[in-house]
Amino acid sequence: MADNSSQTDPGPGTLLQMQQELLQRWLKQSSGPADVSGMFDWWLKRAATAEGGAPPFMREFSNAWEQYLGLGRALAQSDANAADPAGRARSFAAIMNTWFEELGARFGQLPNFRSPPDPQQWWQTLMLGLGSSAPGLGSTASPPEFAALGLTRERQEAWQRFTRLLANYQEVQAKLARQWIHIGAETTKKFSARLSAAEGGTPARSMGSIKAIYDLWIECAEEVYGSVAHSPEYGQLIADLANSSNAVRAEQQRELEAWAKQFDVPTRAEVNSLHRQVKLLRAHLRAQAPASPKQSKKRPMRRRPRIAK
Amino acid sequence: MNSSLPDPQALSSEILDFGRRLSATLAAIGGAANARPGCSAKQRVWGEDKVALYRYEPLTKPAGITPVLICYALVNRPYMMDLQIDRSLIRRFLEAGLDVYLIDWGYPDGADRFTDLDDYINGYLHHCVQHIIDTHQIAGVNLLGVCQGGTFSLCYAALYPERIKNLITMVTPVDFKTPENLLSKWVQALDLDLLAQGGNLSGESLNSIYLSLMPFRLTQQKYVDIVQAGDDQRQLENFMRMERWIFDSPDQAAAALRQFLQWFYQENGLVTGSVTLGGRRVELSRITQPVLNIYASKDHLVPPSASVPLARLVGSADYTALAVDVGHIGMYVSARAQQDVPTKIAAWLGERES
Repeated sequence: MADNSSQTDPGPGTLLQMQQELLQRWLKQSSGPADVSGMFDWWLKRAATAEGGAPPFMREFSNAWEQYLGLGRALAQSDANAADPAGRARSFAAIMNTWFEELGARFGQLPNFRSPPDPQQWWQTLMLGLGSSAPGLGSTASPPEFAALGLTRERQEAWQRFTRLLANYQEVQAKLARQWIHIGAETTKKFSARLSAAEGGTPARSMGSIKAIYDLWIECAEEVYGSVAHSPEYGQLIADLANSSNAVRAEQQRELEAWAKQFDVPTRAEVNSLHRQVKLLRAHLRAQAPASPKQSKKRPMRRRPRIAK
Repeated sequence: MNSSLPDPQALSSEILDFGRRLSATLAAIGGAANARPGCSAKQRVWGEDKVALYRYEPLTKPAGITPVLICYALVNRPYMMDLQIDRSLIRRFLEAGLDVYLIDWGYPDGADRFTDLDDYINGYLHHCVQHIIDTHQIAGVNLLGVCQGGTFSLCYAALYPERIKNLITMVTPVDFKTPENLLSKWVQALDLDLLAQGGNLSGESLNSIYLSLMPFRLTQQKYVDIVQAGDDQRQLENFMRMERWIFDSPDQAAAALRQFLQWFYQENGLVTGSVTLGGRRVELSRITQPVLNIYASKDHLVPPSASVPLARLVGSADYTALAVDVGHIGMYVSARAQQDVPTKIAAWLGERES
């Protein structure tokens, strides 16, 4: 059955009208509203009231569209304020540079690249919780490396190991962030240079629309990113990030296993052991069984052993 | 000032036009989100664990060509081969009278973390081939390996050459250490023991890696570009089907992934001949049957330089390379590939049928 909701639902028409009003206001203001997300917020709120809520993919769309319209706003502002071509190019570039910060933040939120809790913060919370005001153990002190002693020696060592791994992971993340800043800076330079060339009347292609400028921005960003991403240093950094993240995860897993044992809950190690046994048994069975039932039928029949009378 | 940048009037018009298109897109995309992939009728004819073998129902008179078994990658779902009527390699094959089988590897879970490449290639793939051989009473099948499935197919053909009549590889990595291969550069220093210790790799993690190969185009530009579709339901449905497929990535069995990364990416085992499966060495020189190697000249995942070296590694005297001017995904869905590739494959197989 055809979906005719767009004809009967007044929502899209209202949305269009709202958008046009917002855009007109937005374009008229030299400083512009703080952001353009209102257009998307309205739709998302409306969609959220529908059965099942806003579709998850809408977030992806609205992120991209907000940034695209951000470019339009940058263009509108620079057109009003900047007189020289180089100034306009720099103005775009400065605003575009903030995209990298947002992208960097999104990258940090991806699965397996999630920021772990900060050991420093944990230590501060612990100190505050204990009400510690002892000299040398102030709430701003770094987690010290105590020698593990006594009955809980192993637990202390596990904790120390964990905080070291976390610190290592954060160090790698900081290196990655520096790479992204570098990518952002280089993209800005490249974008400015190409845009200035376009403004100076030597464009490689037409820059007569926001879309064309946006595509140029993406092209510059991908070129710069590609050159960095192919470098041995970046390859090592990505591997370090994965390795340090996996090391933190493995340590967390070890802790969970210890807890599971305390409560007599099956551990991953025990489940793994069972899976290995099943796999081995199946391999034995497979080795003994014919390749397929039909194939076994095609095999020549063995002669029955004669029974001596 | 000789400016080629948009003037304020053009800027206003463009923004307003974008707003109109955006409204239309937002209104229409909800319906498009429900567009289901898959268009050709098929029957499940064999299965083991989570793996299923499908046979597609014929659309026309049989061409009298040995059945084709499609071995797809583990990293995405195989319905990409039959996405929709006008974007389906399988449908074009059926229209050419081919008898088509497809392996669906399923969605591995925690119970499959020790499933390794030996299980996939000497186990599941071997059993699929055996099923077709038994069903049709033939000596060997036509094997078509796609992407990672192409690497599996090369291993299988090298181990069981007598069971393969013709081998077709499509966007298949062979040399994993070429300068253009970004993924390979990132994998070299990975601690694979640590990776495998964490269990299966989630499809979500895998996708984030793929996105980071071209982050600006894949997380930004394509969502801006789709606004141009406005309320074009057909275009939006195409987009949403692709979107669904791209992010419908099964988790990767830990043991198989570990071996794949180590043997192929880190050790470049197909080139060095160091891969061993089920106690037998994989030697591509043992592949002496006709080989058709199809690669995409704009492929960012499997660059042409990763596929082309197959020519010097196989032992076949009947080797054909076919470069298609598309990207990795375009090989399955672009109009150009839809026009050329299935027809050429069917013709190539037909010529070698006698």
